[in-house]
Order: sequence, then C-alpha cells, then structure tokens
Amino acid sequence: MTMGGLALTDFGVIGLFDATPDAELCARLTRGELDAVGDAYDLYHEQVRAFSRRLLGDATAAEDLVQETFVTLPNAFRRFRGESTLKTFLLSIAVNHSKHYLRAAMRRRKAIANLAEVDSLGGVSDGHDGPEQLARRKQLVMLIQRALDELPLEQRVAFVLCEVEERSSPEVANIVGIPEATVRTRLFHARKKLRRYLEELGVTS
Amino acid sequence: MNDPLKDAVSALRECTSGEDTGAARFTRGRVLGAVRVQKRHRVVKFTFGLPLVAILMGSAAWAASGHGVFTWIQRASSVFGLSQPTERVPHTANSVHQLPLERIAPPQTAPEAITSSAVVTLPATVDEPTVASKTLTTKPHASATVSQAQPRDSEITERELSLYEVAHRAHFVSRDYGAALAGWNDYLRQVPSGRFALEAKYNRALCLLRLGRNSEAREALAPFSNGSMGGYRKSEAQALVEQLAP
Repeated sequence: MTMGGLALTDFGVIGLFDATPDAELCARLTRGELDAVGDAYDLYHEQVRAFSRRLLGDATAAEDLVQETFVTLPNAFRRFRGESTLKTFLLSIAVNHSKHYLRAAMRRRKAIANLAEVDSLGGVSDGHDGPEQLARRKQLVMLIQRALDELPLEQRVAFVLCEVEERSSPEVANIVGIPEATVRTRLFHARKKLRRYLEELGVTS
Repeated sequence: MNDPLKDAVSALRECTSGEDTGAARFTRGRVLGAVRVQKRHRVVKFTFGLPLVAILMGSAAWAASGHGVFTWIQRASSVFGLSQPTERVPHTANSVHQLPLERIAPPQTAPEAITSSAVVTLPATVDEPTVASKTLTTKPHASATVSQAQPRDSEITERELSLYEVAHRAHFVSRDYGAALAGWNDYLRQVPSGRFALEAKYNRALCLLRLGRNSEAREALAPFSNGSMGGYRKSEAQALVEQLAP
C-alpha cells in the first residue's frame, strides 16, 4: 500500500522514496534464507553496482564492493529496522564498506594515470557520439575521477549520491545516516572544490 | 554555456550506467558461495562450539561449587528413597578408619598449611583430614565409644551434610577459622555421633590452633595423639601436641 511516497508494509512504514514492497524478501532475510540473498542480489545489484562504480571509479574495486555488500547483508540485516527500503539499506552498507575499496581504486587510478592510459571504467557509449566526442567524454570522466580523488570520502559520497545518482538530500541523508543539512553542506563544499579543481585542470565550458 | 562540472558528471553517469552481465553473474556466484560458507561456519559454531563451551563452563562451575558426583547421586538416592548404592559404612570399632570419606566429603583443594604467622609451626606433612581421594587405612585402635559414635551411612541426613558443608567451606575455602570453629562446634553439638564427628573434632582442634588458642587446641588434640581416637591423625596430632607443649 503506498501513501504519498510512504509504503505501508508488514514492517511498518518503509521507504520514503522507493516504495518497493520488499517486505516478503525482508522476512526471508530475517529467517536467514540463503535464497533471499540471491533474490536481493537479483533485484538490487544494478543499483549497488552503479553506485559503487561511480563512487570508486574502478570496475574491479566496484565489483569487490558489490560482493562485500551482499555477503555482509545477512549479518547486517539484524540492524535493519524497516525504516528504509532494502535498496537504501544496501547502499548504506556499500557506503560503509567503501573506504577500503576507494583506497585501492585510487592507487590503481594513479598508476594508470602515470602510465598515461585511458580510464579503466569500461564505459558504455550511447552510440550516438562521434569518436572525438567520445574521446572528450572519456577524458572528462577521467578528470572528474581524479578530481573526486581529491575530496574527503564523506564529500565524495554526498556528491556521487546527489549529483551523479541524482538522489535527493533526504534520501542521501537516509543512506548515509546523517542530517539533511549536513548532506547539503558536504555537497556545497564538494561542488566548490570540484569546480576549482576542474578549472585548474583546464576544463572549461 | 555549459557547466563543465555538469558535463563531467553527466559523462561519469553515462560511463557507469552500463551493465556488465558477465561480471554480475560471476559476482552473484561469489556472493552466494561466500554466504553459504558463512552459514556453514555459523552452523558448525552453534552445533559444536556452543555445547563445548557449555560443557567447559559447566565443568568449571561444578568444580568450583565443590560438589562431587557421588554427593549428587547420594542426594538423588535419598530423594527417591533408594538404598545407598555402593559402600555401606561399617560401624564397628575396627572399621572406623576405613570410612570412605572421599565419597561424601566435598573435594578438598589443598591440604591446610599453617603459615609462619600461626602461633605454632606445624609440620609440613600435617594436612587436613578430608583430603579427597584418600581412604584412611591406618591400623585401627579405636575404642568402643568411638565406634558407637559412628552411625550408618544411611543415617546421614541433609541437615548433617549441610552442617558439615558450612564448616568445611569456612575452614578450607574461605579460611575463616572463627566461622569454621563455630561451624564444627555446631556440627558436634547437633550431631555429636555424626558420620563426620571424628573429622570435625580434629578440624576443630586445627581451628583453635589457627586462632592462637593453644591450650584449648592441645586439649582437643590430646585424644588423637594418645590414641583414644584410634590411629586417626595420630602422628600429626602427636607432632602438634609436642610443639604446643609449654
């Protein structure tokens, strides 16, 4: 049952944003069913993977983060109180585990930059851009990733969730577990730093 | 005029929105494998680990409580009205010193050692009479009065056992000799011909010694040293009496 952005389930009111009725899946996870983890993966791995790749900027590290997120789900689920959707909960697990993987990704990115290679994101083109446009976008991605590496993790998470994933501040606050105002502050500082950094790198309009 | 940050963000979004199905399938397999292993470990932990810990803790608690298996069997037997399962206590004068003390007395941790602070120094060999796993085999010379004081095993009551335990714990566990003396006196007053009367008398003498009441201790040890109590702790009593001699 959905009421203006709120989903009423067996677990109470869940999901301020994504009112997915995953109550049954939650119940199965509570019972410790192995298949429930598989089903949760099937449902949400795309969102978790996209976020991981955007945050880390490295496909290999992102894959590891996705794995860790779902492997720790059965244990972490004991803390789940049904106050958010399962997707939000999974993203918050990914955020909590991202620190270690981010370091690894940054090291790898620096090594690649030193070798003057193209980014390792394995990006997908929409097929409409010409080779020059595509090269420019790849260059932009590489630069924004380098700029993101300059940010503290908290600001980086806030920026990726708000700007790249286009989530609202309340949703990000829910994922990260901080007040909305703090999200906005982090986002403000992140934007400011990134603009300055991109300017320094010679990226202009 | 484009915002370079927006352009970069847009490029990043597009670059990372594609799905690598091969990697996704591979990761799914890894996730489920890891979760399965986790679950197996948890099952093993709960199946073997917890019972093992429970057994160890139970054993430790059992040992700490100072109870023996036989005590429980005996108590259970008395509750269900069963006869004494094994050895019956002989009640003749000649068999006083073959009482199976270790079967009823709580296990003793260590023989009592008198420290230098005691009024008299006891010989190192002097130990407490209820040391577990010892069956007294001294050649008996008991008098008729002593033999009459020993009731049958089946006559041991809960009350007697609890009096004994209180005194024994005060003496050998908490080492509160004042309380122990009171405990042994209590026992001897309430069950003067109890199953542990002989031992209570000897322990009472040791308590007096510990409390520095030497003359009373000497008097209490005299029957043991002169053989009135048979051979029970005779040599130890003699050594103590010698040292207590004025």
